Amino acid sequence: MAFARIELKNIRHTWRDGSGESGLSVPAMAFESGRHVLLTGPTGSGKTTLLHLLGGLVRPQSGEILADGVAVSRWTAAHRDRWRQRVGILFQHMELIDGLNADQNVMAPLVPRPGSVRDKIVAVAEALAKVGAETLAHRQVRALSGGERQLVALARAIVGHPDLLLLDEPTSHQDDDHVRLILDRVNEANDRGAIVITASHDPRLTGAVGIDATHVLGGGRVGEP
Amino acid sequence: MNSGAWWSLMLWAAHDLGRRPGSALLTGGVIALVVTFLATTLLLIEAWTATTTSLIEAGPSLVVRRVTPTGWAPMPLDASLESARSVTGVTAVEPRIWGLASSVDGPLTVVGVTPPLMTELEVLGYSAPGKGEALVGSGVPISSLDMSITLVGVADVTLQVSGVLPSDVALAAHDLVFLNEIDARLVLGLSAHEASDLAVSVYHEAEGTAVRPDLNAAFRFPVNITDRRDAIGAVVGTLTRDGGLATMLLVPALLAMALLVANAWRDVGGSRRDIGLFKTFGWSTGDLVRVQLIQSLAVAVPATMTGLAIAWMLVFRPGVTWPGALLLGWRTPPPPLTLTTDGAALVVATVVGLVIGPWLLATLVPAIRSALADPDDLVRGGR
Repeated sequence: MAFARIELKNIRHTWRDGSGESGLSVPAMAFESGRHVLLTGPTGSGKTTLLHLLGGLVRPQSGEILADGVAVSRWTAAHRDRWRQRVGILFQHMELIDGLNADQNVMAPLVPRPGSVRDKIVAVAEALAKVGAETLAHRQVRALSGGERQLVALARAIVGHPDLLLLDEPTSHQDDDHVRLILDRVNEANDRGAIVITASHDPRLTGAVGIDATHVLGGGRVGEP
Repeated sequence: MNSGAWWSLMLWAAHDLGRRPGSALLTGGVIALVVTFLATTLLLIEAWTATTTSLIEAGPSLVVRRVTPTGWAPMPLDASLESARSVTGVTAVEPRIWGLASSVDGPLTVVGVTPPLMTELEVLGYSAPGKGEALVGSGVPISSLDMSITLVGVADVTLQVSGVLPSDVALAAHDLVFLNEIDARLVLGLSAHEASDLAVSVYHEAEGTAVRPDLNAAFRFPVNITDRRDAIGAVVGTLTRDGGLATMLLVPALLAMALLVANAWRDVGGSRRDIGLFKTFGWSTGDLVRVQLIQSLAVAVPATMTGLAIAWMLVFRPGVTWPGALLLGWRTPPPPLTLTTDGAALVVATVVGLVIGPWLLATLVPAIRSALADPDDLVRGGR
């Protein structure tokens, strides 16, 4: 069952990057089931970090993340592993596994999950087809263009039908047609009840069909525009 | 975890291993070589000790030989039997007829078949050699033309070979030539009133040591007395010396294993980004460890089995003779021995533990350590 509501409360998180220490402060924010939220803001404002916090890739240094009222940010490592099974994430740098074909990359999230190998192979083919990348299935990912790699990474994010879909700059290498295709896939996920959170600089997404809300990050704080 | 997930993990592990077939094969080959070397050395030492010890334990409690300033000398039969039987604790005394003779291919041990020995040969399915006949060990060269053998001793005799003992008694009988007692006395220059030595039996092992002084004093001439402990000590002493050489040869094998383990540790530790990525997909620490375990075992188990099979064949298959020469420094070509497999299971378990244990540690510990870290650190750190 999809999440009804994911909330962030008093989140404070700092990290070091090339330009020194950066920080993110989120006093309160909520994401509802079936909604698509766009996070914008300048580079270093914490968009990626916020997605990683929501995806359970890192624990917040203070504050809480609640899913349907349960503080998932306090969970143990084993519980957080299970949390991540409900999350699909498209990384800003794609993070495909070189040395594997596109379909093998898309298969990766499904491997430890229940279900037959045959069903998983079908699911992978469907996910690639949904993003228009079925012809790339048997190609080595290191030989793909930036746009193709991004489509494969998107297929990998949606293949497990996640309840929380996190997309970090999903359209940065795409033409307008593919931007529409990506938004269509996101809308399908929303229709299932999934929460979709997209972090992007891309002006084509601002006000696009299906975006329900936009949060602007900047100056280390985030709030409703 | 359900069977679908298990199968998926197995297939994934196999496929992932297939991404680096050269590396997997090379690693497996090195493990197989190390296991072969380690197991051959340890099995050979263990099997040779066990076989020799069991042979010695089947022999007499004590052996008494007459010594003179110039070396061994025949024992006067009746007087020697009387002296030995006079010692309290001695339960039986058997005179033995044996000694060295020459053949065209070198020295051989000639044994005269006395009644107790005759019984033992019959148990093996051989009849005692008649006059002019010889029953020979598997290492004795015989003329293929007329199945004869010529022995040069005090007297030269040519004998017809009536049978060849099987290779599974080669450790005891490799260079032995069993002759009729009369022929043996002729070759060795022993009269009917002399014996080469006496086999003395006592009630139990500890008595052997206790009766030695009395036995020594009972003879009117100097004698040398050896018991089983002396004989086993001689074997162990030889193995300690030769095993030292083998141990030195083991050093490069263990060094190779250590390098392999260090390399595996580095390799698995180096794949932190991939481990982080799998964590972001929802793989649990258990899933990652299972895949790593499958891959580690897929390389190490066949390699170890191969190494053990080769080692087993080299040590226990009759006819393979060079491991003893190479590993234990035997100077002459050793006979094609058939060694006992008693105690081999422990050696095999030791070798498996020595190889598989560190290998699994080297591959699993870095994987577990990485899998316990935050995926964000692993992905960002590995980029």
